[in-house]
Amino acid sequence: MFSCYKATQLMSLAQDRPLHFKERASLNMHLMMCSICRQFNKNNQTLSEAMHKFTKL
Amino acid sequence: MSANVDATHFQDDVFITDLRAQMLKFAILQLRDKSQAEDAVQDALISAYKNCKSFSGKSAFKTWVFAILKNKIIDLIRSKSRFIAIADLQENSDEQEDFSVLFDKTGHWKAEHNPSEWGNPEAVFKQEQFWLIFESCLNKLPSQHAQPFMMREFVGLSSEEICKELSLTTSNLHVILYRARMGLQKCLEINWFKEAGHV
Repeated sequence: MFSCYKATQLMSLAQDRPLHFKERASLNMHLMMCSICRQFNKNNQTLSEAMHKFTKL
Repeated sequence: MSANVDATHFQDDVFITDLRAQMLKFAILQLRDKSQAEDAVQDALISAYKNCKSFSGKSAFKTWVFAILKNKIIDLIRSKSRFIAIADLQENSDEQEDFSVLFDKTGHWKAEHNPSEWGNPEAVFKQEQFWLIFESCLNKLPSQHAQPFMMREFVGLSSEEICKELSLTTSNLHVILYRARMGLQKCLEINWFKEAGHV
């Protein structure tokens, strides 16, 4: 299984370009097994939502 | 002025004062330079006034003025981008926080750095204090991370456009955006979600 460090990088990357099939598959696999990274992913989405709200003022 | 000019919104002092303050906040975050930000806001308001069209409501007017401001900011960023992209990236590379410290040797989260549960976003976003902390966290990002991040998330440019404007490679940009997101998440975690016990 690849590392949480790598997973966090892929979660960020996914916001800037579509992940390749292999990247997406290994990230999804990781997220299925790792609750800490699932939490990180959720927080990352909240952050993104906050940015959008902040932009609209 | 031509027949289609409607400057009604410019005569509403309270509205214009508020709008100006919001524009300034927005410009300072992007430009990191108060006097430059003030100039950009001033320019945007003048050009809005000169080209004033008829708007049915305040929010349509506001969206339009902000679009003008965004263009002014992008022009300014373009004109100074070479300095920032090259000078800051190289000189400050040692000071850049390395987020690998959050992980152990095998690349798994160190227990003390586990992300915490942030609760319901809608409830969080309703709290005024959260936005003050959010803004100060944005301001705390190192400028070489903040600028590409703001161009991506605030102005909504694509990775390709940002790379072109700032003369960055794609992988360089992805590292920068990763660090900006990690920095923001960490800052919010410490100053809002953990410290203040808002969870």
